[in-house]
Amino acid sequence: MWDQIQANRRRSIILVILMAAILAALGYGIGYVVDPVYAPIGVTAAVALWVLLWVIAAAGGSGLMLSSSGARKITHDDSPRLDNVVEEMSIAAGLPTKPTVYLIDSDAPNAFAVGKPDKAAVAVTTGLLMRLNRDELQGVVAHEIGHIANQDTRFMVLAGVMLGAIVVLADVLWRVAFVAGRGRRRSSSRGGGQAMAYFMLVAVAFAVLAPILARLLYCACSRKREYLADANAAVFTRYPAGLASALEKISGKTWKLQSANRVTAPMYIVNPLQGGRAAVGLFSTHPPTEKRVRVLRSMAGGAGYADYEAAYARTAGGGLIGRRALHDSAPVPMRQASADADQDPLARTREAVDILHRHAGFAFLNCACGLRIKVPSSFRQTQLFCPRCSRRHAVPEARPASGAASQKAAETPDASDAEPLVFQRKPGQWQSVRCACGRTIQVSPSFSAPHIRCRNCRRQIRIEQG
Amino acid sequence: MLCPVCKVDMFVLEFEQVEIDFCYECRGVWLDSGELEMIGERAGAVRQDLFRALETGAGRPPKEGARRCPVCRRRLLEVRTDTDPPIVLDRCPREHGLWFDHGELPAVAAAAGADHENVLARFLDGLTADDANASSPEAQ
Repeated sequence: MWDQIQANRRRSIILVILMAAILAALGYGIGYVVDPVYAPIGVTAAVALWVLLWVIAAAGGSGLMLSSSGARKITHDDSPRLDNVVEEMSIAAGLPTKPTVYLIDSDAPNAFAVGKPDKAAVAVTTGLLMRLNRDELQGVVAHEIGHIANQDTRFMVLAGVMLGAIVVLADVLWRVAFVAGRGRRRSSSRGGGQAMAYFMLVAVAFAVLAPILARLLYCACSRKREYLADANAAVFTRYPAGLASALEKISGKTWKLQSANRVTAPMYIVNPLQGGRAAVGLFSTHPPTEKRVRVLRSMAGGAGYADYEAAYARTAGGGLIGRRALHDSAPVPMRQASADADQDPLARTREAVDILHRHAGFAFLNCACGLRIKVPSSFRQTQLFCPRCSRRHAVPEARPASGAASQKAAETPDASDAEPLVFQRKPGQWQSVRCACGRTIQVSPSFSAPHIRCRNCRRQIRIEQG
Repeated sequence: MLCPVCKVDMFVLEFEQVEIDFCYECRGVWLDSGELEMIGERAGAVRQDLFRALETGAGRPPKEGARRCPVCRRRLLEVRTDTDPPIVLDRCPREHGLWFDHGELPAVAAAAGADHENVLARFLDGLTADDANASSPEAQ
């Protein structure tokens, strides 16, 4: 395992050095074209640009990725199933802390991971949560945790930023060479014009080729890491069929994720922009899904790295992890499908949708007739009638502690120092309570503090266990 | 999601694992694409083709009014059932879902031959029954 990371790291270092060489060459070219004495300054500027971009990406990368995809942080109470799976897999992978779990509101089933091993996040879409059973979900989460454990998440940000810098600089070189070329022609009476013209040709060719070369390197590395994370998933779950069946479900239909773009696409478990098409070439960040499934499905005998390597050699040809890295990898026995594999898909859908509704501020009411009523936060009446059986329900509200007399005080807009509010709560279930300012607050089953604070008006609400 | 008619946030009702968007003001129902077929199947409807025709068949722009899809805000199209007399419904041009005015959903379920003893079919009937309105504060 450790060896495998080491081997991976060596490859990564080579990649980074190659890309850095391209970057420096571009800087040199730009400097030289402007004036040969500026060449070293060009190199320095190119490296400085890369470092600057890297620092920005490293500082805000994870948060940026999560917020640009509209991810919401969820707790154990929101989805015990997902939270348990993330916990199990992070223990199996030996991560120092459990990654934070995020949910993205999208029907397209997909997942990604960001961050470094001691401070990571795993994000899944509601579509994924709805469609996958426990074994499949475990496979996908294990794959993402594999990325975190292999440091892929950090590395791909570093390489991605480098690729971005190379693309930008190639463009600059192209423009500078063009402008300088026109300038020189007018003053070509000066000596050395011939050598400069040759250099210009080389520079232009390089400006065209550099981004292509860099992208090739980047994509080849990205694809290899996908296979490695699949191998990790097989080992962590001891059940490769789970991930295989999840990949089949994810790629079975053409889904397109609204919040993904070309920059964030390599981060997802399957390419969110390709929509299940088989178009795969040198410029794909992900290997073809059928090929990944075939490798996983043909794993026989065990779920260890050696078994994955054997299956990879059989179906894809060639080696992936390398004999040296496999030398001391322990055999991992395969396990059976878990008992709750065939859980009701409708119940899963409800679970995912409930999380979204809670986050959207719906208040949940259970009517005795069996109807569950979710009241939008913009509903301003204090009572409503069940649309099915006409029973009267009170919208769960936090009431002033001293009764109805202080109702007026609670209605004043800035009531942070007004009458304290009280809410009678039934323990052991999710409950919605409406603050006097109108904001709905969700109280989770495991909430045990005596107070809760409204995020909107900062009022404190006393929770009484009913 | 906003009601295409009243432009207020809709309630979400969940019954027997089926979830629908329901306007508390006008008592209309919005069904996301695919939900009608699923509900129909579970309510024992025999004419699934009717639902499919409503969800994907040709629609035409309405003569007046601007009801908008709660998902994409595009103007809803008119679609008709092939029954006699036809039931006219509103559907999103991008097929995000169907809008049923008060009473239209049970009518469509009945036209598709939904089993009247089925608990889900009775739920849909009950949703739009008049006695539900009678006790609401607006009616008093």
